[in-house]
Amino acid sequence: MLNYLIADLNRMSRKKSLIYTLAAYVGLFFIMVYMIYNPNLDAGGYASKTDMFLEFYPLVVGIPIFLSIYSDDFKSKAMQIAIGYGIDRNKIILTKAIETVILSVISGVLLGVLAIVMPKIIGLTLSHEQFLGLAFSSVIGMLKIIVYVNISTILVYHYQNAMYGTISFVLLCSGTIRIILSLIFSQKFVVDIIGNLTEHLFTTLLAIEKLNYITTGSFNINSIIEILLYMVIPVIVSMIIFRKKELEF
Amino acid sequence: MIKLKNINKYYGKFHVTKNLSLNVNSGEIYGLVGKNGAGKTTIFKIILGLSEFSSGELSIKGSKDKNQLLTNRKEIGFFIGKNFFDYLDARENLNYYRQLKGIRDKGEIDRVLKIVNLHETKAKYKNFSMGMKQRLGIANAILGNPEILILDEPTNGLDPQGIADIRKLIKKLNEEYKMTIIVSSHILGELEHTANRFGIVHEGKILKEIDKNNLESESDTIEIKVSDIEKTKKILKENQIEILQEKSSKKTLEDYYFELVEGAKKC
Repeated sequence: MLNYLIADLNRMSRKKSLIYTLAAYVGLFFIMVYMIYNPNLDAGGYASKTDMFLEFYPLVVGIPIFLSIYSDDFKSKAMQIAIGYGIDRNKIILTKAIETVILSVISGVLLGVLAIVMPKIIGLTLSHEQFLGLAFSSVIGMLKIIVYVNISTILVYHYQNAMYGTISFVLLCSGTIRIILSLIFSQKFVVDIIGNLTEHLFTTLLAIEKLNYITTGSFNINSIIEILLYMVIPVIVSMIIFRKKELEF
Repeated sequence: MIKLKNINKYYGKFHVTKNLSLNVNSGEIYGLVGKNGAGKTTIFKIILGLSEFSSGELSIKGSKDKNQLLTNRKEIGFFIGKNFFDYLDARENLNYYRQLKGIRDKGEIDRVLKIVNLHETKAKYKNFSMGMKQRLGIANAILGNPEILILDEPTNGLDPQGIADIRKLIKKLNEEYKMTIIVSSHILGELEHTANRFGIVHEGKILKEIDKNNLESESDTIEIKVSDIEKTKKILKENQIEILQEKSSKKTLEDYYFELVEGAKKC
């Protein structure tokens, strides 16, 4: 499993599109700062604009991460070699999930540090809340990539094709699915029958916990468990789906 | 080395392999013969764990245990289709699989590239010719010097020179590196030159397994050299033996295959 992880990470380090996209996003951040910078810009203005900019991070950086981990693998059918070589299917799924975490964390930490360090460069001082807000936005971006990739891979493993997964990832990142689900969950008959499910949506949980921590300095443990379940359940579903899947060459 | 016993597999209601049994012995080149769709690739996928089967037994190196099968599969190198990344060159692609297989020796890449004569190639995989892609596939299969090699249609799409190269390579791997090789092809003449034992697969069944020597002895024609042809003909005539054809020939694998398959159809 470790060998597979090392091989994959090495391979991805040679994939230029992933590095270029991350570099381009960082470049866009510098351009944004250049555009909003003026003598009247205060820390609040910077924080709100940067927060908005980080909203796009899961979509822009998440797609090349997703494609590097899954699309290339399914296209080249390298996974079949791994299975034929005797690597357990569950371990393959776990390895891929770990790769998603690693790449998300690397990109998230890079953007988070950049967002927090930039005010010092341009002579602004962030308040504690603003600092936490930006740090949380990066972490939320990371978590969104991890969860949305994990959900999308269910389709990837089922169809052995990354295209459906990519579409699903884009719909999740762009908020399309959240809007549809919110509409459904806010219907009176749904609330009457099942209760308020909107507060259990992943994005809602993240937003509430971000606010919770900034205002109270603590998390709601139930919400954290729910967030963890959002990360783990899709991996388990993928394992079940992939367990006896016929692999094509 | 590899045994399949009464393997049954279904795709939905379609019965793909029917009580399929196969036995590959150590050190041999086993030719899996059959037309497209006969079940050759399915057999390979079952051996490699890429496809589940409904009933029957699979054993690799004497073990049927599921966990031991995973371990024993590490002794199998295989080439089924082309499993490479377009944006990497030959060395980078093999380095990926070297790391995946946990082979520490980086020199292994040069060793296998030399065997398949790709050691001087710098091009990216997307720019490879068909022959180069096939050879890289074989290089990947022999990475780590496995005991068993599975090659699914390795000469597919190659020109005559490419076919001859692959044939030579397979023999070399068997003779010099002592690999047990299972190779499939629908080009029967091709396998006849390579393998020393054959499994005839038709509609998901192994109709027969036969040694090359036995294949030759099953022939009903002989080729003899005599000192006096006319005298021989006279003797045959005196004994009321009719000469049907003057040039005798051995039964080819192709003749044998069609005889069996046609026989199976009649049954």
